[in-house]
Amino acid sequence: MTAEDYNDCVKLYADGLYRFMLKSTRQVEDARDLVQSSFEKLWEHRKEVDRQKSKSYLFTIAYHKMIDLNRKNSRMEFRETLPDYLESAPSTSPRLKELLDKALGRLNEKQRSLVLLKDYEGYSYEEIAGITGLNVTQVKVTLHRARQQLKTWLVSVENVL
Amino acid sequence: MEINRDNYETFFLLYMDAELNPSERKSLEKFLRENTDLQNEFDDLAMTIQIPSAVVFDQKEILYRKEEKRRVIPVYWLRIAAVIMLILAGGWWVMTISGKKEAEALVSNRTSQKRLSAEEKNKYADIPLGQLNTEKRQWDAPVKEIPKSRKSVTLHQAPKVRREIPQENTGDSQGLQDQQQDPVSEEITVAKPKSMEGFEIRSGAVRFAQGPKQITVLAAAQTPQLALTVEGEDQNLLQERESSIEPDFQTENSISVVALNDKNKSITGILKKLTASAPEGQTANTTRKLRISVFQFSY
Repeated sequence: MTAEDYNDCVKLYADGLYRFMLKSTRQVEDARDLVQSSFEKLWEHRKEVDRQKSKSYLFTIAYHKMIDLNRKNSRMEFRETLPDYLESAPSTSPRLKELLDKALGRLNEKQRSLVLLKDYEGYSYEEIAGITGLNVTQVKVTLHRARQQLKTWLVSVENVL
Repeated sequence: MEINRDNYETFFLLYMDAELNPSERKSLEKFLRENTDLQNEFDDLAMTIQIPSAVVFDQKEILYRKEEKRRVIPVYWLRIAAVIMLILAGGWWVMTISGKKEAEALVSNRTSQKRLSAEEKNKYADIPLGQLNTEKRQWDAPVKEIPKSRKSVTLHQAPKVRREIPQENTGDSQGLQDQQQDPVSEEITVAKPKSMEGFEIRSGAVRFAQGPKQITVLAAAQTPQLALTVEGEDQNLLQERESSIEPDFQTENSISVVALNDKNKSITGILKKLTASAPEGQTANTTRKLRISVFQFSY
């Protein structure tokens, strides 16, 4: 990977990686630091990283850095909602989006990351397995359990509302 | 695999994860049309799909990089430098080894040199003491030349001429005054260097002299020395005397090398000499005077 390829990666993947980190950590500063350190590592190893695999490399680095950070800080006081200014995307269903964020906050760290990688980035089970270090079956089972949890919570909240 | 009411949940989840191929998707949609009571369950699962939000990382500028243009040092320069270092290290090693061998040869030569003939002794005995300090010597004995590039000096043929100093000698030097008080035989050690640089030999020290190709000999009485009185049986003293006597050269028994400093190219040792008879004023033949001098020899 050349410096030009690396800068293309910044342009193409920085936003997505930041979103993944922000949704996972719910901490703006942590998310920024993780993005920076992930790109720093990509730059250091740019000669060994294939351009085609640069995105999964970035997400893999970021995911493991996030896990390390969470373990180090033992801080998973998950905020159920993001700051308003970060929710800039127009949505046809703001209420559903808010509920989804709250539901996401109820998942554990692994489930949340897998749902984000699947729904936001569109990774396949195999790709998620490569990023997270789990096997495909574990990814599949974890994701299905996460969706069942989300469904159960969302249905119960909807019923209350 | 056909979708039925026993396995539909798995297919629903795979559908949400977008893991079904087009034909499977069509099969699932068909199954839903045929099982409308499961539509709500399908919709509830569909709510779990996260809606991507447009989040922008506003610090991209700090992530962009430029390739640093590094100064490339050609490999052959490193190779040349390595070869030079090897040559220098090898040269240093050779010089160290040769210097050590030369020092060892010097010590062995000192103990194995031949005595000069009586004529040679008489030749130097006739030279006045005053001239011995400065006079240049021309030696008849062949000198094995050492290449000029080697600055080390090897001494050979260092005959010692013994002269009795007359009592009426009234030299003004301190050495001569000492000899008048203690009339020991004067030892003159001469040597000839192989190098172009002259040096001066004393039994206390060796230093380079001003003139080239010159050996300067000092009276032994001027050298620092330690005089001891030893006592013992006459026979033992005689044996000691015989073992340390040195008609022309010091023998192994009377020269002791106590330090061979190869790094500084010097040899330090002790010169021991026992008088043949009892000191002056003592009549008993069981007392001798032992003179010990320290010498340092640089090469």
